[in-house]
Amino acid sequence: MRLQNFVYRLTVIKAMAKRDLAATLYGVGIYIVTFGCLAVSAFAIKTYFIDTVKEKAMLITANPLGSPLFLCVFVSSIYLALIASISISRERDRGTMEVLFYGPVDSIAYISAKFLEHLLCYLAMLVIFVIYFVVGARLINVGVTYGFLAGLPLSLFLVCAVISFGIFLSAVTTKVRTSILVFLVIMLGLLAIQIVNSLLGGLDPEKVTTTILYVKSGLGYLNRVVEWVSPFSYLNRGLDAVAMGSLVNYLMSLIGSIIYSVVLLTAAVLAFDRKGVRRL
Amino acid sequence: MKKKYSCWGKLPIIILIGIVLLGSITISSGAIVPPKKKELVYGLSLFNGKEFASTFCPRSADTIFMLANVNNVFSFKRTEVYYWPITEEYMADWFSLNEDTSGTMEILQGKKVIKVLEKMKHTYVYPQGYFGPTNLVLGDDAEKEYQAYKKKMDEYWDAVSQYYKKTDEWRKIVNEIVSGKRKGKVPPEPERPEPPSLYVVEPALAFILNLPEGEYSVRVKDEKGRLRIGSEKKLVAFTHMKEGIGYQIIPAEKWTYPVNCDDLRQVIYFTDKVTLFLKVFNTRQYNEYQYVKLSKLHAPFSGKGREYGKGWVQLDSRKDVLCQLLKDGKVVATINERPYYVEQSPGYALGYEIVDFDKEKYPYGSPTFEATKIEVDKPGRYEFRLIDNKDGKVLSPSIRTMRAVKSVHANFLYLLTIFPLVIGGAVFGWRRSLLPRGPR
Repeated sequence: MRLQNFVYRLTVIKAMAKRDLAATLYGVGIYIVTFGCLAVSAFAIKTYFIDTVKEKAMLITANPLGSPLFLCVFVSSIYLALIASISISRERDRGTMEVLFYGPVDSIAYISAKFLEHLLCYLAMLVIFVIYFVVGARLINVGVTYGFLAGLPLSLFLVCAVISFGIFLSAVTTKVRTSILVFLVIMLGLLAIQIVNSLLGGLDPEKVTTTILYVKSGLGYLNRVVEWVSPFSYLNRGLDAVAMGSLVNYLMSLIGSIIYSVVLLTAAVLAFDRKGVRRL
Repeated sequence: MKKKYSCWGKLPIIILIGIVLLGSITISSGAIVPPKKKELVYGLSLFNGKEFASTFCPRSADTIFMLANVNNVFSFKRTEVYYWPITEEYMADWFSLNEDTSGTMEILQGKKVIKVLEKMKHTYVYPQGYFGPTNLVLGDDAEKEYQAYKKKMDEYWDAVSQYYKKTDEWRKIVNEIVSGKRKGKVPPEPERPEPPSLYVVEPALAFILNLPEGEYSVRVKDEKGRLRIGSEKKLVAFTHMKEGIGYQIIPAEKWTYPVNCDDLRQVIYFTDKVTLFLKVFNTRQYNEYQYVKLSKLHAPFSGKGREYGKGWVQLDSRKDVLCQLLKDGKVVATINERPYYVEQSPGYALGYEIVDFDKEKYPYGSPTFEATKIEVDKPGRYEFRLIDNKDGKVLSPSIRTMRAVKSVHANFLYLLTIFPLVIGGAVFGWRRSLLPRGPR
């Protein structure tokens, strides 16, 4: 009976994910965002790699495409999390969700389908990224390195974490506008803490005022919390592991991303069950 | 009715702003004096592969890290310790209190005592001066080295006083010749004696630890066999993970900004042509956390986050090698290390030229650096590697790849970005073609 339920749920997940994936791929948004990602990374390669080589006469690096790939992953994951968040809130807002739940769909199937759909979207984007980077690397005579290849599976796990974050937020909010606002505020807040913390961390402690030192210390504590909450911390840890050549750290960051995603998706299912699927 | 203006209503706000301003001024004035505490700590002088790094083990640190199979110097002393929040590290005020403790040191593996150490006389010898390499000399040899150094210094000071005497006499003769009281040629000026480059520190007593790789614990006991409080610490003796060959690369265009290239995976990117000067070093790869703790044990946050990291450390330089430059897999040049001199351009134009050092041209000068010069002036895939001077064998950890970046193609990267738009357009067109066409 349990197996039958599982197979049944799997069929529902597959059907829903397929339907939503087709809707996304037939739209123009995903192509425009992919173009945006590539444009940002082309700018990064031109400005921070080629121009630096020209200016300094030489540049020594093990992974010149690492940061541009990270930019692509960063922008695409934000986009995917945002559309995941919007699509769930919109379906609730319009009453589509209620109709679906009268059928064979339950909260686990619904959340899993949304997650799977956006993950598949990312895979489609990743294929384009890889083609772009391989062709681009050949064009400017840069090697596709171990660091770049190690970054690809890592990006997949990061995107899982960010999509889960978006799904969780949409599960706890009710309106489309609210979920977009909450998502953007939280994402920007987390990023701001991490960026300001790393900027302050780079300051020479002997040359700043005590007030700045207190702010730095306070942000340091806050950042310790953010390192667990922000999905981007998991990618940072993974990229650090690749740079350090540490397999243990690399695997730990992958496992961390999986645990993070599972926890947030479970929380989203619980929030769904608690709030119900009706329009509020 | 005209309202009378009064600032009394806003008084609480003004007072509050005043308090905040005063508070922030007090905080930013930095008038914080950290309290000092008398503590028994391990004073450590640990060999880091190149030199002896000094640190100490504050009470809050429970593990000491040191390199295995080399001599390391431990002492257990009473001093004044304080925490310096600005640099986030503990500091020991050795000048105000530096009191050695007596007793023996026990080294344990598990719960079993494997060694009991007595204090040993030791000294640091710097054969090429204080900034050169250091040798740790133990036992009676330490005293001998120190006495030999003292003797050399005494001889030097004698020579200096002789020099001053001779200079005075020489000046007298010169003055007499100038004033016409004496006839003849001016004698050559006396030569100033060269100070010895050798430097030896006064011998002292300490525990000398030389242990194989592993985890231990240490403690100090006094003459009566009582444990000295605060002396129980874990001890990790670690060694390198890999050995390799690293480079310090000096680009001819920016010779004051050398860059290290220690990892085989690192690639040297350049544009059309480049001239590089390579300095070759033996390198070792260590666990980053352990290696940082070797010299920064007093900083509790040092090495944080790098527990599983690996880092290369450049050690002694290699002179017994030749460098080969390869283009598309074929050796195109074999180059040896030579001395070079950075010649500043005369006049107001800023600039310099790196030329071969010529002793005849610069009789009083010394080479700016010694390195292997690599010149690449055509695009392509290059490699350089080292071969042993004696047997001509290629040293595989020395291979590095050089790639000429095709910067002229950089703008094509932007053109490539339209690829997803083309796919999107194709999908859109295909979807549109599926729609039923209505009557014209």
